[in-house]
Amino acid sequence: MSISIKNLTHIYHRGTPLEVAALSDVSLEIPGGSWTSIVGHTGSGKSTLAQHMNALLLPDMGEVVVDDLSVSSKKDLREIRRKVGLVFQYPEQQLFAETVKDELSFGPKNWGMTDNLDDLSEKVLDQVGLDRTYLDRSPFKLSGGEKRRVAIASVLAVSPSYLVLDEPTAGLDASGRGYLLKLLNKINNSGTAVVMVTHDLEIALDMSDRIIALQLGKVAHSGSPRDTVLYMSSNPVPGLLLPSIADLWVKLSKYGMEIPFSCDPSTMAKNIDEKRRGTKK
Amino acid sequence: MKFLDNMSFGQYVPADSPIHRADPRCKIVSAVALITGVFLVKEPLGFSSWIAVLIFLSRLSRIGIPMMLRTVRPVMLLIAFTAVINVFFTSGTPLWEMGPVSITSEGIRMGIYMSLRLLLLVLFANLLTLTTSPMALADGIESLLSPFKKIGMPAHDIAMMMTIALRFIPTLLNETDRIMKAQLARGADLDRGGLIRRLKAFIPVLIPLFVIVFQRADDLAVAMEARCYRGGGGRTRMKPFIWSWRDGLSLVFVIISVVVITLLEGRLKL
Repeated sequence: MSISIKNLTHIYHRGTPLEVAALSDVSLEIPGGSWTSIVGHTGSGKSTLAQHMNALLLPDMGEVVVDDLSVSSKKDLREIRRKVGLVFQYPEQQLFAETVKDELSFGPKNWGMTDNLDDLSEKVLDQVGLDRTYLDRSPFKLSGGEKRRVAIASVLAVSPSYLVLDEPTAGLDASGRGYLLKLLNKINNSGTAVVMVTHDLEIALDMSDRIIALQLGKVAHSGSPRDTVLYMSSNPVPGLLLPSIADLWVKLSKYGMEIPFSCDPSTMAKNIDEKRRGTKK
Repeated sequence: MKFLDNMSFGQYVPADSPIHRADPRCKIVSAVALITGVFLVKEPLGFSSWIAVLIFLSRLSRIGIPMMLRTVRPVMLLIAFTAVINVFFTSGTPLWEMGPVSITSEGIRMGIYMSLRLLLLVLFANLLTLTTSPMALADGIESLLSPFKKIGMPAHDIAMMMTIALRFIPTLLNETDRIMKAQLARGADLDRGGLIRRLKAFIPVLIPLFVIVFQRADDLAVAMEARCYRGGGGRTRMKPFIWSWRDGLSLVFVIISVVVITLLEGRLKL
C-alpha cells in the first residue's frame, strides 16, 4: 500500500509563452502509514506535487498510482480523492457551513457515507482535540486555530488512508504549531500516512520518517532525516537552511564526536553526555 | 487543471506601439467614436471599411489578429445566438419554410450584419483594453469625467472603484481556483447534474469566497486609511497625462473616418 509516483512531469500554461515545467521527471514512493515531508523553496513545485497525490492535477507525463488505483483511469479519481485527503494551505478559508457538524458531514455526504454522521463527526472532532460542544457552533465564530482544526477534521471525516497537508503550520504561533504537530503525530500513529509539505526544515527533520527535498521541480534528495542533514551539509539546497541544532550535530561529528542523530535538544544533550562518559572510561 | 485560466476579455497586453503610447483619454474617446461608427453602417461597403480599419489598428498596436480573435471567444455564443435569432425572426420574402419556421433573405442579411456589428463592437472595445493598462484606463475615465464634478459626480471615486475592481480580478480568480480545488478534494461535484444541482454545488465555493472578499476589502480599507487616503481632493499625479499633437491628430482622423464611412455609404446607397 503506497502512493507511487513515476516520472511525473507537470507543465503549467502549456503551449503559451508562459509555459513552465513545475515538476519534471519526479519519481517517489510514499509508503502507507509513514510520515513523509516534502520540503523545498517557494516555487520548487511542492504544492503542485501535493495536488497530484489526490488527482486534483493530472500528470502531463508519467504516472501516479494510489494503492492499486491509477489517476489515468477516470472512474477511479473519486475513490483516489477519498483515499488521499488533501488539506490546503490556510484550510480555514474553505469553511462554509452553518454548523461545525454540517461542515464535517460535507465530505461523507459527497461520498455517500451517510450512516452515523453524528458519531463520525464526534469522532473526528475528538481526533483534532475538540469536544462535542463544538458540533452545533458556527465555524465562522471559532478562533483561527480551532477553525483550522475543524477544516482538518472535515478532511479526516472520510477516513483517508493518506493525509496530505500543504503548509499546515503556516500562520500559527509557536504553541499552536506544537499542538497541531502533536495532533498529526497521533493521527499518524493510528495508521494514517501523513505527507507534509513545508518549507520549515526543522519541523520536517523532527517529525518525519523520510524527507523529500525538491529543487526547481526535481527531487534533489530523498532519505531519512539523518541522511538529509548529511546531504545538505555538503550540498546546500537554495532556500533551505539547516536548523542550528542539525548544524551543530554535523559540526560535532566533524570534530570526532559521533552521536545518534536527533533534532530534540534534550535528547541531543543526553547523547553528548553519554558519549563523553564513554570516552572518559 | 487550472479551472479558471482563460486569457480573454479585458486583458492588458503590454507592448511598445503607437497605440500603447497614446493618451488613454484619446483612446477612450476614439473607441466610443469607432463603436458609434460601427452602429451607423448598414451595407457591405460600410462593414468592410470598418474591418479594414480594425486590421489597420491591430497591426499598428502590434497585438495581431489571432490574439484579437482569442479575446472574443467568451462572447462567441452570444454572437452566434444573435445571428440565429435574426435569421429566423426577420420577416420578408421567405426562402425556405417549414410550418411556422421560415428563413428569409432579409433574415440572413440581418443575421450576418448584426453578428458582424457585435463582433466589431467587441473587437474595438477589446483593442482599448488590450492596449491600455487598467490604471491608465481608470485615470483616463476620471479625467474625462472631471468636468461633471461641478454637478456633483464623484469622478475620482468612480475611477478609484474601477481601479480596485480591476486590480482584484486576477487575485479573486486565484482564490476561486483554490477554493474550488479544496472543495473538490472534499468530494464536491462541481460539474455534474442539471442547472439547479450545479448552482447548489457552488454554494461551498461562493460562501468562502464572499468571506475572503469582505476580509480583503476590510484589509484594503485599513491600508488606505493608514496612508491617509481621503478621496480625490488635492491629489496630484506622479505621471500627469500629456495630450500631445499626435493624440489630437489621431482623434481627428478617427472622427473623420467615422463621418466619411457613414456618409460614403449613405451616398452610394442613393
